[in-house]
Amino acid sequence: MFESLGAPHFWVGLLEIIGVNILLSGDNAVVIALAARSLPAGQRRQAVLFGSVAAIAMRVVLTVVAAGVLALPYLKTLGAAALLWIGIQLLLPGRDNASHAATGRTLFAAIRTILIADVVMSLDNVIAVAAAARGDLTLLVLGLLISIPLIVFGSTLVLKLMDRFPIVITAGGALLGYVAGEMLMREAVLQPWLPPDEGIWSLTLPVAGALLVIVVGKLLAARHDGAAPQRVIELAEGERK
Amino acid sequence: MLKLLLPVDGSDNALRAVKHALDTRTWYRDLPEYYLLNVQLPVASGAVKMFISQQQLDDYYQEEGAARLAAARELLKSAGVICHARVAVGEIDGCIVRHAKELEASLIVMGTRGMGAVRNLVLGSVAAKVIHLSEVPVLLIR
Repeated sequence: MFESLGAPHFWVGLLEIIGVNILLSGDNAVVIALAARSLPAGQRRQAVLFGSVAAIAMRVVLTVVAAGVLALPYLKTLGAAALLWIGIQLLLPGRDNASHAATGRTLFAAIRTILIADVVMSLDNVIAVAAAARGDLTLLVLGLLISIPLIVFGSTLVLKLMDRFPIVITAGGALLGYVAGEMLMREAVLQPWLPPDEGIWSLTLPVAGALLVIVVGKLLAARHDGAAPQRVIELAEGERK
Repeated sequence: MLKLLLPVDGSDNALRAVKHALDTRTWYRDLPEYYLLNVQLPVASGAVKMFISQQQLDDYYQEEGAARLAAARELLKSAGVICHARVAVGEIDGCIVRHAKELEASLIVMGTRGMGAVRNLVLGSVAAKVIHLSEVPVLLIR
């Protein structure tokens, strides 16, 4: 297991996994934090604890399954397409719409929200980590270990970073495109059509993937540029918190 | 009616700006109306909004905003002036400029640097962008 530590592709993979985790774990943690906020103070910690543990467990199971699934023919292509789509989505401004979800005020409701949200929102992270791990077990395990603190602590800090420095979002989307391209290079069924996976040629699809995400993402984002009604909350006179 | 928009982020600099706007109220013939604004960066993506209700989000932004505005509100209240406190969600500089326009404010009074103060910077990024974008005059306080 440790001999792979010497290979450069290991470190590239590890950096990719860390990058992907930072980028895509934020949402999980936000849901956990906000779902717990609606609860009375005593129950909040329980909700956060339970939610985080459940998210981690779910993440582990899904990642192992994904790694296995990606080994099958054509699945890498599907996975690459999924990653490209996720990368593009990242670049689109989707934050202006109002939410139509219901508020849960019981511990049960909060936990249920967290679990469902975990499954849905972990998918992109899982695919990306499994893809970046390239079938290497060490990388996979390390990748999972890294996601744990990020789920628990990551969220708001990362999201604020992304808002302050929009270049981070673009870089993130490009990273996903890059990982998608790398995975596509390893698709066995397509080998006859792909450039050789050595030297400078091994960068063709990854770079193409990164560029694709950036270009398409920016194009689509430009179309959305409208004046969405601004959300302004008036604080009532008597409110002192 | 003279309306002053005071963007506040909870920093000392912002509070100094509010204090200035308060202390100089005698410059004007009529007592101005003070509008405090704190802008919160959005934390919820489309995915998060599938699970978290608008009410929960609003509660979060409101609580965070109220905390940042507390000192400024206290200052204005104890001076006995009309003070409106609001929390907006979005990109900071854009929200400030937009709100000033919607409010038909006569003047924006804000600090040069906020919470993210880096000592060497002459002017913080938000203040710089507000000056650049605003159609309403901007008064900057160190």
